[in-house]
Amino acid sequence: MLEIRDLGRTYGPVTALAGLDLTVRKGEFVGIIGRSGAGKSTLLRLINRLVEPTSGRIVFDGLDVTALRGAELRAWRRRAAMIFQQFHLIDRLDVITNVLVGRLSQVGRLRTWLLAFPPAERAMAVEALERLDMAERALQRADRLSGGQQQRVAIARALVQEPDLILADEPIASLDPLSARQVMEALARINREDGLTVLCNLHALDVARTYCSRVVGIAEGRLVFDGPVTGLDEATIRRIYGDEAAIPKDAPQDAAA
Amino acid sequence: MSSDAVRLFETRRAEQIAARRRQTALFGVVFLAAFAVSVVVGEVSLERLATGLPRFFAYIERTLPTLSLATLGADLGRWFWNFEGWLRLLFDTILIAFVATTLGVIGGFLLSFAAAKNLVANPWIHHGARRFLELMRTVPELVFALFFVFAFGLGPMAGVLAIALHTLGVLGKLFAEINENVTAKSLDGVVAAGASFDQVIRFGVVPQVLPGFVSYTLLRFEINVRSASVIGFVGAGGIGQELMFVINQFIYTDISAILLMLIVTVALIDLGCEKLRHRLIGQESLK
Amino acid sequence: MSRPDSTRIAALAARYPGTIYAPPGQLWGRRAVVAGFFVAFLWASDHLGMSFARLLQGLQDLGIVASMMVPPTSAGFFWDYVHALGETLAMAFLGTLLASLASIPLGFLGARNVVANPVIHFGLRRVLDVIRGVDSLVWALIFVSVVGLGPFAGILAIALNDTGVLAKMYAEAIEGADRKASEGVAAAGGSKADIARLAIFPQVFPVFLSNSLYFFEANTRSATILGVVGAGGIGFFLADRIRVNAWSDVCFIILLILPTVALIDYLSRFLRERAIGVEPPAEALSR
Repeated sequence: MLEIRDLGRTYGPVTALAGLDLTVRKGEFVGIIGRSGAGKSTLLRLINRLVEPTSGRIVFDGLDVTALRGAELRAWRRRAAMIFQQFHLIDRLDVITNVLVGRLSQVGRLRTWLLAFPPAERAMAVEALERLDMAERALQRADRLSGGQQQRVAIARALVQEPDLILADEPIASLDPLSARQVMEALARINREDGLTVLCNLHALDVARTYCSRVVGIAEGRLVFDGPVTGLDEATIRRIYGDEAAIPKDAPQDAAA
Repeated sequence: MSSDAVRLFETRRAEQIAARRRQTALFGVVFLAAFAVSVVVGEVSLERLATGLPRFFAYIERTLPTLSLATLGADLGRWFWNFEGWLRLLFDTILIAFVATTLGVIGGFLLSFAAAKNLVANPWIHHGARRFLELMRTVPELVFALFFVFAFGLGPMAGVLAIALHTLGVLGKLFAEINENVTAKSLDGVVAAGASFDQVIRFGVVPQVLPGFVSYTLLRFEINVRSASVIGFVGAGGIGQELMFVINQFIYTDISAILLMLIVTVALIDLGCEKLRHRLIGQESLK
Repeated sequence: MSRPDSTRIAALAARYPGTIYAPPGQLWGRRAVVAGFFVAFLWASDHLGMSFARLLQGLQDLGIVASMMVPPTSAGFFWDYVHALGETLAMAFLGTLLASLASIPLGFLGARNVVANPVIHFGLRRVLDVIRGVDSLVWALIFVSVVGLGPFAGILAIALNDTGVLAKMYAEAIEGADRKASEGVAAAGGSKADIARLAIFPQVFPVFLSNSLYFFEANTRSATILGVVGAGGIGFFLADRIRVNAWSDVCFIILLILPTVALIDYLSRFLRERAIGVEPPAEALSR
C-alpha cells in the first residue's frame, strides 16, 4: 500500500505540488489526470525519488521512502519502475541491453562495464520482450524503432525490474492512436496478470475512462478529485481542465482510446 | 505617432552603428599596438625577414643529397646509411606515443566524469577536477619531460609520462565537454531503474559519448607521435635526440633523411587513424 | 516476472538466436582485439624500460623537487623573466599572424572548388603535409641554425608550422562552403575572383578568424618551450634553471607562465564566443 501524506515540492517561488494526500492499494490502476504543468509529472518523479520533496512523506508498506539514501534508495527505485513520455531508452544500444538496464541493480559492477550479462538475466529480458511482442527485435538498435515500439521496450525494462509499482508518466502522449492503444493495453494486462499497481499520468479523460478503475484529478499542484471515473461530473472536469474543458475537441489524444 | 517611431528607430540604429564602429576602432588600435610591441620585442625587421628566408631555402637545399640516376642505389644507400638505426628509433617514438596516449586516455576518461557539471553535483569535485585538467593541459609536455628526466632518469619512460600527463589534461577537458552535452533524458531512464553512479555512467553516458571520445583519442595519437619525435630534445627517448644531434652538428643529408622518414611515418599514421576513425564511428559495435 | 530456469533459457535461446548467447565468432573476435591491445601495451611499456619500481623511485624524487620549489624566488631576475615572457607572447602573436596571412591565399589555392587544376592543389597539399609532419620545435631548431639564436627563429618556426595546418583547414573550409552563393555570383556574371571574394570569403571568414584565435591560444603554450632550443622566450630560462636544479626559480617561472597562459586562453575564448560564435573543428581542438 502506497501512502502519500502532505507531499509538496516547490521550485523557488513556483509551487509544483502542495499538500497532496493519496493512498493507493495494491493492484489498483490509478489514472492521474490534469492539464500539462498541473504537477502530475512531479508527483510520479517524487515517488521514484528522481525529485526530492520539499515537504511531506511517502510510505510504501511501512517503508519510509522519503528517508532512503544510497543503496536503499536504489533498491526502492528498482521497486518503483518509471515509464516516460519520451521513452528514455539509450539510442545507441540494442533493445535487449536497454531492457537489461532494468536488471542493473542485480548485476555486478564488472559485468555491467563489460556489458556481459549472465544468460539467465538475458533470458529474463527476452521473456519480457516476448510478452510485449518485441522479442523479434531484441538485437536491433533502439533508435531504429518506432515510438510505440520504443515505449513497449521501456515497459519490458520496467517489468524486469520486478517492481511493486509502475509509474507511467504520460506514456502515450507522444504516440499515434494505434500505438497508444497497444501501450495502454499492455499496461492494463500487466496490471491484471501480475497484480502490479499502476499509476498512470494521462492528459486525456477518455483514456482514463477506458482503463482506470480510479481517477485522481490534479490542478495547480493540488488534489481536486479522487474517486471512480463515474464520479466525474461537469463541474469537476471544469475544475481539473479549466477553460480547456469548454472546447473538448481541442484536447489531444481523445481519439486515442 | 508613426513618424516618431521611425525617428526613434533611426536614432537607435545610428547609435548601434556608432557603437559598433567604436568597437571596431578600439580593436584596431589594440591590434596595432600589440603588433608594434611584438615587432620590437620579437626583434623582427623586414631586413631580417628578407635575408632570413633565402638562407632558409639555401639551408633546405643543402640538406638534399646529390643523387644521380647511374648510381642511384649507392647514392640512396649513402643517404640513408643508418636506415636500420633510425627505423628502430622511429619505432620507439611510435611506441612512446602509443603507451602515452593509452595512459592519458585512461586518466582523462576517469577524470572527465568528475569534471562534468551535469554528472557530479558536488561543486568542489567538479571544479577541482576541472582545474587539475587545465593545469595538465597548460604545462607543455616538454616541460614535464624536463622534470621527469631529472626524476626518472634519461630515456623513454620520462617521455611517456610527460606526454601521458599532458594528454590526460587535453583529453580530460574535451571529454568532460562531451559529457556535459549528454541529455538528461538518457540519464533519467537509467537512474530511475535503480542503477548506481558508475552504472549510470556506463549506460546513460558512455554509449552516447564514445564515438566522440574515440575520435578525439585518435586525433591526439597523431599529435602525440609528433610530440614523441621531439621529446628526445631533452633526453626523454625516441628519435628526437638523434635529430637534434644532426641538426646541431650540421650533418645536412642526415637531417633530410631523418625528416623524410619521420614525415612518411607521420603521414602513414595519420592515414591509418583516419581510416580507423571512419570505420569505428560508422560501426554499431562501439558501445 | 521470475528468473527463468535452464530449460526455459535453452528454449528462448533456440527461439531467438543470438539474443542470449552472442555468436562465438563475434564474441572471440572482440576478446582477441582487447587481449591483443593489452599485450601490445604491456610489451611496449616493457620495451621502453618502464617499471613500477622506477615509477616509485621517480615519484619520491619528484616529491623532493616539490619540497625544494617553495618558496619561489626570482633571484634578481624578475625583469629578465618578464621580458622573456613578453618575447613568448610576441612570438605567438606574430607567428600566428604571419601564418594566418599566408594561409589565406594558400587556402584558396588548395581548395578544389576554387583552383580546378589538380596538379596545383595536389602539390600544395603535399607540401603542407610535409610542413605539418614536422613538429614546430624541429623547425625552431632549424631556424636557429639559419637565423641565429633569439625570438626571430621562434616566430618563423611557429609561422611555418601553423601555415601547414591552417592552410589545410582553410582549404577544407572553403571546399565546404555553401555552393548556392557561388552560383548566385556566377549567374550575375561574376568572375572566378569575384566568386572567391564575394561568395566564399564572407562565409569562411568567421571560421578563419576563430581558427586563428584558437591557434594564438595554442601557440602561446607552445612558444613557452621554444626557448629550450634557443629560439627565444621564457623557455630558455625554464630549461636552464631545471638543468642546474634551481627549483625555487623554476617554481617562480612556472607561476609567471600559468596565469599568462590562462589570461590568453580567457581572452581568446571570450573573443571566439562573443565576437565570432564559431568553434574551430575537432582537429584543431585536440591540439
